Amino acid sequence: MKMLEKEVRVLMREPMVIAMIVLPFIIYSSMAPFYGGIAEQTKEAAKLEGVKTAILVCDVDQATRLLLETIVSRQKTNMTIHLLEGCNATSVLAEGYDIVAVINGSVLRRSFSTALYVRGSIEKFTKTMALPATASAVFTDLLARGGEEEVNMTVKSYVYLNNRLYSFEELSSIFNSATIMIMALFFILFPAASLGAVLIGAEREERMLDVLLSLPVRRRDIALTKATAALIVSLLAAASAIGGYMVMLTRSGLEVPFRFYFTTLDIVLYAVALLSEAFFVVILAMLISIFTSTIRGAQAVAPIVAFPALIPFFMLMTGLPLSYKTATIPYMASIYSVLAPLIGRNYAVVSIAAQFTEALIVAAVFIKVLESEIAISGPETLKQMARRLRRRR
Amino acid sequence: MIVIVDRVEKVYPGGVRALRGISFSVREGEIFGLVGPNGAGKTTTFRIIASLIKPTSGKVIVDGVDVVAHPFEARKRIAYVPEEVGGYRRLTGLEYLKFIVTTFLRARGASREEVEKSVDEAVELTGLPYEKLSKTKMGDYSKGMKRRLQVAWVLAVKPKLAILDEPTTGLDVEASYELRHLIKEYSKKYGMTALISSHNMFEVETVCDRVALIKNGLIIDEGAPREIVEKYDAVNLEDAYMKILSSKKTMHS
Ligand SMILES: Nc1ncnc2c1ncn2[C@@H]1O[C@H](COP(=O)(O)OP(=O)(O)OP(=O)(O)O)[C@@H](O)[C@H]1O
Ligand SMILES: [Mg+2]
Repeated sequence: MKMLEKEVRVLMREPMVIAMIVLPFIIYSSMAPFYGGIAEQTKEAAKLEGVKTAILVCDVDQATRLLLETIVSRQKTNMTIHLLEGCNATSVLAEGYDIVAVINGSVLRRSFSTALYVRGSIEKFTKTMALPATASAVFTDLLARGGEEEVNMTVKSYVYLNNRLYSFEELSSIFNSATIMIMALFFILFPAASLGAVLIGAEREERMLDVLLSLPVRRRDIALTKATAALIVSLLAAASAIGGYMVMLTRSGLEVPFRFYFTTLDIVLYAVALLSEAFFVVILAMLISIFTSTIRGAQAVAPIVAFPALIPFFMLMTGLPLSYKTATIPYMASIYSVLAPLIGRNYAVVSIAAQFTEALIVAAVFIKVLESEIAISGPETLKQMARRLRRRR
Repeated sequence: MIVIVDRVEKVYPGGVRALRGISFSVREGEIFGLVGPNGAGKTTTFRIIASLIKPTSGKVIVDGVDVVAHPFEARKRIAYVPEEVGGYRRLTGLEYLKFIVTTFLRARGASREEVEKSVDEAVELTGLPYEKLSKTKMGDYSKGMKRRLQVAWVLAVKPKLAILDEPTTGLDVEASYELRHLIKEYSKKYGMTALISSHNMFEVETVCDRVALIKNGLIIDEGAPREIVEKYDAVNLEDAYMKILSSKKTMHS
């Protein structure tokens, strides 16, 4: 047998390595609906189909008013456009319009300034972020074609989200900051999962599991001390990564972006969310590692339990359901708390509480497993199950 | 009787019938040996008594405690050295002794001084130089050194019941000699009961007060080594062992 062949065989005969190979396919392919969501929302935003728009005639002269009336009656976009009097965009948005364009200026002076107000939603975040650009292009086009000559147009976009008005720039900054903050999740989840798994895998590989389990120690204490140890060390790893990142940002002269949008309370909330997910992941990694007999196998458990954390990360791009039910799904705590500045803290609190509860449930299962014979014969049991499955086929 | 094993059967999840109803009891302070061919069920028996695995049926009582119903209480009374000896690769021998002695004795409510005394005693019992114990990690210990470490802590904490699965396998002549004498000494001095398995009949003959011969998950004979030797008109236990196995073979066929 060639050397490479031996190495590959050694890896591929590890059940957890197989799981590590198969799982990403399942996870990513199951994310198709989310991606479909992105494409659909982008299309919706581009086509402006069914978009209900109001043009608010605010501070314009008579000639301009006439021009606008002509434009609106002749426009051939997919939008329905109503011409209304007034300057208060938010109250019009509340009436059920998707876009409100407040137009100031004069056709005679060939100068317009348009304020675009878009009704945004976290559920359709991609569309929310794409709409202002498409809408402003369409309006510029309409106004320019209506006038004989080139016009001077300024457009400023606002997004009305969750009863608050954000400038478009502000919203994308918050979104970017949230994306950056999400990275901290992986700084802590991967070390936590890996260390938790190894603490169990090593006991077996070093032939110490029998000794440990024969000692007069409560199973709960074994589970919790191992989890705590893995958490402490992975917190150090995360602190190092986040610290280095901050140094990089400040040294390079960039402002730390999330300082503007995230209050101290928001940051604390996010830290607690990270901790709750890390705790969940550590315990889950330890539980699965009971079925491995080697450190090699335990190492493969880390990506298995950390991978699902990517799902909410993708959901952040497509838009997140604002429902408490979704918030209680595992791995959701970080995403709901990182969005707290936009959607309020209630979802985050519910999500964190749920995540801790789920961690405790997994811990209870893990403790039961440690009390049972599976702790001793875990890998053997897995083999038996696989054999039975094969026989049935 | 400090250990009562009553009609214990064990069928492993895969369907292997490792034990087919074995019963024996051990008196306090006694050294009881379990002998038998590979795969006979010795380790399975020990793991059941040490509450690591559960019997399919039957009962095990240690010092009045039902091992299956109250494993935590049972574990306070039992110290166990598995057959496959291990060690934490990244801990020094001394760190390991401190950890395990503290863990065991704290559960029994021992004071800090008692724990420290036992750690010192364990260090002494390993027979290894202090330098080696405190400076070298267990990953660099030989198999025999690891086993000496494991047996040392078990003796040092003076459990009600010490379970030693093949304690001298892999030890050099001198170390096995010392170990056998230590086990006997601790049993006499502190009334410690010991369950030992071994493939070395000389060892069993010199150390054990009584032995049970186990084969295919059944006890096929039991008694003081001397009695067994006499009963089969053998020169020593090894001779008797061979006679028993061959007679049982012909009996079955
Ligand atoms: N975890 C397990 N799962 C399934 N079968 C097992 C398991 N452990 C042991 N066995 C089987 O149970 C039987 C008894 O094994 P055991 O280890 O108790 O024997 P032993 O007397 O200690 O042997 P040895 O002298 O080789 O140590 C054997 O057939 C073995 O293959
Ligand atoms: Mg054995």
